[in-house]
Amino acid sequence: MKKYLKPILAITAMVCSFVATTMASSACFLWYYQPEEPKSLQDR
Amino acid sequence: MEKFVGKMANKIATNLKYDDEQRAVIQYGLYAILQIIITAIFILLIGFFTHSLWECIIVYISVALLRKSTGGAHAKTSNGCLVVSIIAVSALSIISRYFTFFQYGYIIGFVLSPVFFLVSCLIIYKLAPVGTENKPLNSPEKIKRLRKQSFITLIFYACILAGMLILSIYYDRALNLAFSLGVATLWQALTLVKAVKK
Repeated sequence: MKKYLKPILAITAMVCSFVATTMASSACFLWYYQPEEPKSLQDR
Repeated sequence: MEKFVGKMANKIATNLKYDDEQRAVIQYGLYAILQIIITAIFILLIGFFTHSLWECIIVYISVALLRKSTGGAHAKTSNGCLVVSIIAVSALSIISRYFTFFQYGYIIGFVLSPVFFLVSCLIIYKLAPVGTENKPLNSPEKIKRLRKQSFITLIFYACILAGMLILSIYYDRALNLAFSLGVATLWQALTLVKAVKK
């Protein structure tokens, strides 16, 4: 199981980064709460 | 939910030896994914039990798609957001499903759906896009791009709405779906007014 942990986490991180970038290029989050945007994603 | 997302992001970042900024990006993305999934699960369940599943799906997707380019009002806390999202989408879907049972419901729906949609177009044309405190919109290029995206989305919705209204002459249920698109667009447009007033 430990063998698969790192690849699973890496894929999760990749998906999360992709979604974060997509959200950063939008006007806001899809639903009614907008957390503070990470600095590296601001003004995309 | 924020605490849970923070812990998950920490776990991923520690295992993959990411720095603070990368961890923050993962946390942001993870939060978005969870927000979309949890809201969808609750709304689909309510839609299933109130026999308004298709209306729920239409309201959920149309509000979310439009919100992406127009922005709008936001709740102060994540739990408040979840409650507001679920109540708003469910109420709009249930109204759209059952309004035709009232006297003259069919005619009212047939007239109000395009009226709601046109009012929304006007509001969106005047106000979109609207930024928030946590995500202000400063770049003129971005504002221009988001406005263009909003209009493309509205043209797409207008085609669907027209198609459903024509279909409703033959199938009553199509009117419920057209009405749900009309009220969803209006609701999203009204959140812009609220956000601007703030």
